[in-house]
Amino acid sequence: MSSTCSDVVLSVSGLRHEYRSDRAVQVALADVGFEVGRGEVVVVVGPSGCGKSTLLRIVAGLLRPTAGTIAVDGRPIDGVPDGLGMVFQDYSRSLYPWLRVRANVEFPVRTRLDRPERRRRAEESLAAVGLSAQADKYPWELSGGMQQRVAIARALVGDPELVLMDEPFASVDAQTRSELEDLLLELHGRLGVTVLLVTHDIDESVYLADRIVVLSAAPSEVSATVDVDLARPRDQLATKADPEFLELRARVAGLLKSKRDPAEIQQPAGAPLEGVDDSRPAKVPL
Amino acid sequence: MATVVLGLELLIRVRVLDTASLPSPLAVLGRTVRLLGSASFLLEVLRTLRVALLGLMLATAVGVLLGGLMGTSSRLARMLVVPVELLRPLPPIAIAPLLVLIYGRGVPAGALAVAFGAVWPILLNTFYGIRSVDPIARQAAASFGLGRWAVLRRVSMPSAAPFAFTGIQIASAIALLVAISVEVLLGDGTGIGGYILQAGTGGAPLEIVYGAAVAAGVVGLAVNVGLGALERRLFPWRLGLGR
Amino acid sequence: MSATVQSLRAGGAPRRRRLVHVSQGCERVALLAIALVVWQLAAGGNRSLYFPPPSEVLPRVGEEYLSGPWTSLFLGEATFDHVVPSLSRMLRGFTLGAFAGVALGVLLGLRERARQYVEPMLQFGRAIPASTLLGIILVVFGTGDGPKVALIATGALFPVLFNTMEGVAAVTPVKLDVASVFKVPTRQRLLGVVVPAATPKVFAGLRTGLSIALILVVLTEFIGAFNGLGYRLVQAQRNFVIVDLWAALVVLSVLGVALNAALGLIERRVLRWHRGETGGADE
Repeated sequence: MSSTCSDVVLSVSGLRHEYRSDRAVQVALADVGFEVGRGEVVVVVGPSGCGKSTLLRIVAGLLRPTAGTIAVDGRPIDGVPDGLGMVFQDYSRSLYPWLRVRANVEFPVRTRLDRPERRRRAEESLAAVGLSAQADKYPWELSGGMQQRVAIARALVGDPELVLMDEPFASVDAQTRSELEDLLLELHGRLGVTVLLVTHDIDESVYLADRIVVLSAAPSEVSATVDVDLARPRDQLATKADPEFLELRARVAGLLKSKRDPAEIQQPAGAPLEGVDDSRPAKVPL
Repeated sequence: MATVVLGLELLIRVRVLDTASLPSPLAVLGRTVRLLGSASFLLEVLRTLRVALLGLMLATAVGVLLGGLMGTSSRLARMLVVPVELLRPLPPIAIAPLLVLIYGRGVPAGALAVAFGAVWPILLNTFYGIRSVDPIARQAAASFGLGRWAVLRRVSMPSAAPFAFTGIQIASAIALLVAISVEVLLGDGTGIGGYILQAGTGGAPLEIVYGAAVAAGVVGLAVNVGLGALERRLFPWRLGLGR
Repeated sequence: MSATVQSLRAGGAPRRRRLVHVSQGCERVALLAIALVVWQLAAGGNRSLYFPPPSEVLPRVGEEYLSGPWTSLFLGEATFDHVVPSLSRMLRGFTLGAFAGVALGVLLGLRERARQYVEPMLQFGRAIPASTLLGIILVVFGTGDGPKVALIATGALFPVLFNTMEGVAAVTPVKLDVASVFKVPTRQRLLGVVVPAATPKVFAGLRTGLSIALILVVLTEFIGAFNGLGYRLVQAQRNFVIVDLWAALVVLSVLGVALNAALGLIERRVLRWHRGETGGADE
């Protein structure tokens, strides 16, 4: 299934971000550019510390980049754009402990909608993530996976154009992670949400994505963009046994180790390998 | 801060603010400096500090002991909870009149009043400190064959010590406050409190009264800073953990 | 009382739990009961001048403070002459100081620059023991109620202010990010995120402020006052009527306990959610 984008929801180009301290300038993002089409799930993958979270914060408008443009719906952003939803990695800190689950989910639209409409939307959201029965509990009464589901419900309540997810499943155990991944896929299939997700887990990236943007280590650039044509709906067992999944997985893994796309490296013999990281022998899967 | 002080000064000079109750800040500061250099004032400062220190030491001894015991034995804690919660809300200077009757106008009355006020933060902080010692650390020590007392001495107390110290820091402010309060009550001119009261009622210029109060503040700050430095030396690992 | 008592609750199977509960309840009052009995015996037998037995003190409390007609809720003259004025001053000073402390604390907690500007002065103000100001208050402003309330307010303000500032500044950034990303308007952000997140620390400040207010109301009534519990204490001291002094102490103690308990109740209600939150994610 190729990306059915009639619209480009998010467009990032020439993004550069530096962290300046008295002593030095650290370049987190050197030159990053990609697009996210409507209804797509785009996953950004990269080694730890490569600035993935910085990237997401910039797209969310929480951080102003040193250089580059971000455009949502064709319009360059200035601060936080409209129509965003976001899910953070640390659910225990991103949910408000003084509000019950329902109130947490209602939070983004509290001032925008009136009470009956708000409640209806919140209940819809909670039902979509399967937590209708927990609406009156406090977040700390729920398990980690359920808390993150509340966070997802909260992100969806305002009917966002674009949902940003910052390593959302990194803080839960493996089994919960699979459940949450499937939940995301189900929501995507049903509601057609556009998602930009950041992760360091290669399996997750291939499993979830329509397209994977691979970032190099800092100063980060886009090493490659990998299209994932695996059939939807996806399944934890079947999809992950599919040879194409394995191949894509290996490709992404290879890209993360060396900057070169292994698919490109399979070139006519004699073509020089430029820019290969010499500090480590490049393990190129053939 | 300097701007605010200068601003106030300006307003006073220009007579926008009433000088009868609020003297010129620069004059006050000048007085403060002079007071801090004057032997008679410093003598009173030392008097106050002596009372505060004695009371603090007493409070520390009692507070650490009781707090520690309460922290280790739930039963003891249960027995002591009610008396502690009944006595704690009583303002320490309230017992000062009684103490003065019993012990007369001297150091003991003041020190005991100080101790009565200062003991609570130390006791409670020590109690919480010991209770919050990671049970895993204690179990690990026990698994190495350390007896109950040894565990207490080598695991619980070092862990709880920073908390107890925080209690002492809080208590030091209370100690100073109560010591000066008692002096005000006694009204015989001893200590910082006495000095200010006498200066005020004796018709001394306002700058002196304010200046002495500011000087007291300097003393308080010095104590605070001193304790902070002591904390950093005693518990350097705290900085890494954050508070 | 809340935190200490709660940490000592019993656990286990129902019937056993009840037994344990009863025995623990006994333990709680044991010391107090023993102390009272010992005191009674010791003072009764060998009459100590300064420590009259409870059998004399308690009836005196009743005589002075609880002997009025039922129309005045059985409250005696002394209650109206002394307890009410003290309570009134303290409450006025405390609420004034607390409001100012919270308002300023929120403001300064949010505006980093303003805080840097003002902080040295605040630290300094906090370091000046409130009792030194008493001298100034009396001399400059006289012996009326106003200056007393002002002093109490000043004393209560600082702990509330500093704790509120800390609480506000310590709101975990993620929570604010959430509000930003969902484009929540500023007012909602303040009231719906910053204040609730800071509330635990604010209450810690309020508790300290309350104790200071109690100390100061008694202190301000030692000198230059004509009523109030502090005045009563000094009066009894001067007239050498020890029983009256102890009676006043008992009443003061009861007052203190009651006020602390009231604050504790309010705190528990407002912070229902906080007790469950484990590990102090927002510490």
